[in-house]
Amino acid sequence: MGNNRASFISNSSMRQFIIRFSMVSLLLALTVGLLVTFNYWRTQCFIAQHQGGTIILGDSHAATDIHPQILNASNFAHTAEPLLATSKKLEWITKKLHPDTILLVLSPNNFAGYNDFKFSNKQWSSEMAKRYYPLFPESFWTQYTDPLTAQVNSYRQQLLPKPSGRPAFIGKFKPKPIQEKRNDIQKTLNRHFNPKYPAISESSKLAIETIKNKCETERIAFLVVIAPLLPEYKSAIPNQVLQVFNAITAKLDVISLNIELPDSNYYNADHLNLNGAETFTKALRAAISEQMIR
Amino acid sequence: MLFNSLSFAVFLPIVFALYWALSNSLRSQNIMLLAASYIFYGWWDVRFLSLILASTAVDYLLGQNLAIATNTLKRKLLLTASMFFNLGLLGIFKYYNFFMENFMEMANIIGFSTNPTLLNIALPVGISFYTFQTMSYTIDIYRNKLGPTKDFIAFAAFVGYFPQLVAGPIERASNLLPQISKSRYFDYQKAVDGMRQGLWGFFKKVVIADAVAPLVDQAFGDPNGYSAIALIAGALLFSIQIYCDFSGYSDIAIGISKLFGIDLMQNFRTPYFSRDIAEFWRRWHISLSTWFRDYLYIPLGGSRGATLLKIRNTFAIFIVSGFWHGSNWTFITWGLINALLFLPLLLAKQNRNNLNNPEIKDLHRILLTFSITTIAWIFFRADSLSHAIDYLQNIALWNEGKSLSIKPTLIACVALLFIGDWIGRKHDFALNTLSEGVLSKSTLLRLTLYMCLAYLILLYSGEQQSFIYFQF
Repeated sequence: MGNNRASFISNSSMRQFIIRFSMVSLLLALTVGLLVTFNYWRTQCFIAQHQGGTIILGDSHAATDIHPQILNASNFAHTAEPLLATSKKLEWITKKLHPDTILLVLSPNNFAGYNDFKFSNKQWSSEMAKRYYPLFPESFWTQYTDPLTAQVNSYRQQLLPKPSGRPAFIGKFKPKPIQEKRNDIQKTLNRHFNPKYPAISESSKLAIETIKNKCETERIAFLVVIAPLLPEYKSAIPNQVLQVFNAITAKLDVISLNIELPDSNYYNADHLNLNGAETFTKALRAAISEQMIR
Repeated sequence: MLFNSLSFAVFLPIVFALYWALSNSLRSQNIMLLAASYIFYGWWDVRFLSLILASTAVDYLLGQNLAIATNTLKRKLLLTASMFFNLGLLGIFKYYNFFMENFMEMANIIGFSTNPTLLNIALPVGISFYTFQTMSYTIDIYRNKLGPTKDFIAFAAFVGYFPQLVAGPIERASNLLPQISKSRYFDYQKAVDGMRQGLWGFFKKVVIADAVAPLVDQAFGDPNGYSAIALIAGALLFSIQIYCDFSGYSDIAIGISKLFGIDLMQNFRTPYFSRDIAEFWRRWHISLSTWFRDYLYIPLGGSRGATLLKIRNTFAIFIVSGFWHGSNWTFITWGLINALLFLPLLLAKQNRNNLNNPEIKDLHRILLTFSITTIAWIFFRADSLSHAIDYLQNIALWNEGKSLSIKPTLIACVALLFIGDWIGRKHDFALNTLSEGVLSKSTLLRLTLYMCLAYLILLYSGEQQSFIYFQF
């Protein structure tokens, strides 16, 4: 009798526990579902707002040096973005936003070997996964150490309410403050052209071809601008990288700019500050108009 | 298997369902618990199972023999055999290389050239925890404080009980074994308490400890490159990291155990609200502190006897406690610093001043104790003594350098932790306050709190990090 009673109590309290736990879990799932739906809706709004026009792409050079309002364009560049990711991003952009013009900002370091390791290097891989997970197929991530972490990281992005609707792989204009930090030349050179990596990035060479072909196929004007660099930094770039860079850009529609920026326009070795970005973008706007007239 | 892993998220509900489905038969339930514990432990490395099995078998047999032995010499021999075996395991796996390396250095200093063989073996996870647990069982039988169990399955389940197997709390046989040896019924309130404690533990581990870890790694990885302020921030963050990591694990372990109807001992009682170092040691890693108190400090004489004896005993317990954490001079130094901080209180008979709960008027003493503890933690975190000294030197010289980028969301979460801990300081864990006061009456408020914590855990649970105390 006693046992039956104990068993009955335990069963009913277990049922109560499971029901309550399921309800709390359900509520949590509902909250997460609402957040995901909200983010999806905002992303659709973002897509609707950015139809057509000019889109600026590239890495931190594009993100800091090109003021989108001056060009009446959208700056979707992302810090440390390898060209491989840019090419994948372009596929999404052409499918969803149908732009008229793509303006790609290039610098010699975009073709340096360290770019090939951004998805496997410990320092960068986690960030790359967070941003670019939806752009690459599952098989791409399985090449790297922990595809599950990459997947979880990416889905976690969906849990943050994003009123802007901007997908994680779409960057934005990030002006640098007007202050001197130009003593980082050697550090930047070491990072960009680290001898522990191969000199040239094979993935970047392939990616630039893909970007060019995609623009041609989709009938999108493809313009390239070379990022302004501090002369001391520029002169120290390894010859091998410069040669590849020059050979690649020779085949592209590069906008030539006759502008010499003073050192005070630079934030550091390879990025402009806000004043520099404004001056440079105005010169770029003039050059694009001139090129169009011709 | 880590608590914060997907595999554990699958493992736990399966074990929970099977465990309670077998509640009509205690033996089947214990076999199930043991199998689950061995799967949990073997998930790291199946080879580790042989060690835990050996430790279990040896202490089970010695315990049986101790109970029937009447001859004092024989009893002593049996106890020595248990100590020899368990400490031998620790000696081989944890301390052998340390002693050999130091022996080589000493020999080189005095002009001898030696080249002893070093072992290239992995340290089995949690070995320091379960060996201490089995030793306490044998010692308690030797002291006639505990009778041996005849049920090998129950004993093996006690040694290998998965919630606390790899990082404690270090349970005493007198607390855990009787619970495993008798029938258990599902208790709704206990299970709810367990869920709350686990939730708070996950919050501490996933949201705070794992988010703080990269910042701590940055500061300790390059003490010459960071500014003094960044290094101070790095040290403070490590204090928070180790507390959240370890007490987070304990909360999860205790919480999970409550789901199985088993109570584990409290391991942390808001230690950073301590008003002096003696109080800190009554609130930090309680299961280890009390283990050393009962099995080392008191047998040595404790705080009784001549002043010199008290000093010896204090240094013994703190140095051994430091050494328990790992075979590195940094841990020994950390123990030594704590001994030096504790000793004045002991000698002035002020080591048991603060037995009540702290209040807001004690804030200055709480901050002082926290600062002192943080300085000691620098030695605990550093890779070597020179690294720790380098770190402190860079703070003292007030060097300029890089700064740490601490996100405001992290600061908000740390603030939430301390507010929660402060409100819950009179309870076993912060969320236990939900069973009384305004929150106990408002389901909506409680639910909102659960949702917020669960949401934060989901948000931060991308990259699973191991628990710091697994290495000990």
